[in-house]
Amino acid sequence: MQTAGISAELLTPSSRNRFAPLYGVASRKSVLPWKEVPRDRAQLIVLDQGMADAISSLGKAPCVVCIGQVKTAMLDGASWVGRLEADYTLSDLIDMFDRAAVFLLDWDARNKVIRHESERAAAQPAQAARQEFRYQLKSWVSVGAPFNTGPCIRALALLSREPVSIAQLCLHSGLDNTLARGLLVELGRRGVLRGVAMPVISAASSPSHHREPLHSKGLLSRLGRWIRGGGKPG
Amino acid sequence: MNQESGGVGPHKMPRIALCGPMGIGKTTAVRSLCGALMSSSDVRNLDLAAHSKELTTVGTEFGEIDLGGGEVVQICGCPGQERFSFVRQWVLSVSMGVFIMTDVNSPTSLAETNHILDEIGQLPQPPVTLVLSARPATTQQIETFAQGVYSAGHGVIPVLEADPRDRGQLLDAMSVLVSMLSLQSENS
Repeated sequence: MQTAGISAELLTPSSRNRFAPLYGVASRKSVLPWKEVPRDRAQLIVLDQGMADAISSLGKAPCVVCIGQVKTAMLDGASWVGRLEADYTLSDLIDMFDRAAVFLLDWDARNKVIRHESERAAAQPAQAARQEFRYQLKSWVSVGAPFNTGPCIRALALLSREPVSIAQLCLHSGLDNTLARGLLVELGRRGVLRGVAMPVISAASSPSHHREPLHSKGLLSRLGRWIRGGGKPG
Repeated sequence: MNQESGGVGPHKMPRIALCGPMGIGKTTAVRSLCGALMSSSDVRNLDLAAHSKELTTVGTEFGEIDLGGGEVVQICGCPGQERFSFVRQWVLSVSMGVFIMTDVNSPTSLAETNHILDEIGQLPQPPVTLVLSARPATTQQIETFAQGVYSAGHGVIPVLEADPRDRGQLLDAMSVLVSMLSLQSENS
């Protein structure tokens, strides 16, 4: 899947005014590039309550993103539903697009997201924003250009270990955000990526907050410097 | 050399283990990484049926990576012979990272690798583990091998190509290990 189709026809003018400029950026920065298409060809429909009250069917799009509080039985027909607060940010929108993209790329991810999203919507809407999307490899693969680089191999190794967020992927592999997303798209296309929505555990609330790390940060950073220096003391 | 025995945890001697069958290149890899900073325990190979090389390692050999300021990371090459498995198990238990070196085209490589992964899986704090394909292999051969490891219940283990004679390739593999250790540390 090279691009994913999105329709914002079901947004009232005020919602669309906010959506349009953020979409311009988010559509390029998401794991999959998004392209506006007519509603009957869209894989993702963006919807607000005003339009939900005015229509009788959402059509066949598997994914729906609701902006603000949207209550309609039409959502039951969607395979994946995401929710954005009315005052969502660019980052929220990219995150939502990423979730939808991985859903579309991977059936396994799709099932997990459905579960997490429905649990989230049913349980505590206020905590919805405290989840993040993480990625994990389903099997080890070798990648070709432009991904056969040191940072990409490190990223693959990180993805092999446990579900990781894009931020973690970039932090520990040295990949920049754009390449990291490109790598995820490539893995998604090859069917070896799964995605999971996981609660964000803040450092302050984590019981391990005051525990010493397993390996000293200083040691790993000096070892990393030794490697980058070609095996000479830094 | 620091005499602390434990390799896991913030106050222990940081240690990385190299495992694999006799003749795969563990001693060569330790030399490539550590140069002169190593002690070897090579003796004449009396088990020519297992491998034709003239010398083999009977104990654990230690090399050191000098990070400067008196700080070192120990690289341990485990003996490849199965009768020394107790030595390997001890080294694994005190290492923060492990490279399992193998020839993915060898008919015995998958079983040998899975055996070591079984041992690692039984440790209370398993070290971060990667497989090094120490002989040339195609992408397909590497992916098939990785799938065999996965099917044996060891999860997705990275399989990287690295010639034990090539310091650059070993440093690349080390950088992958450091990234994984960094993630492990963040989540510990």
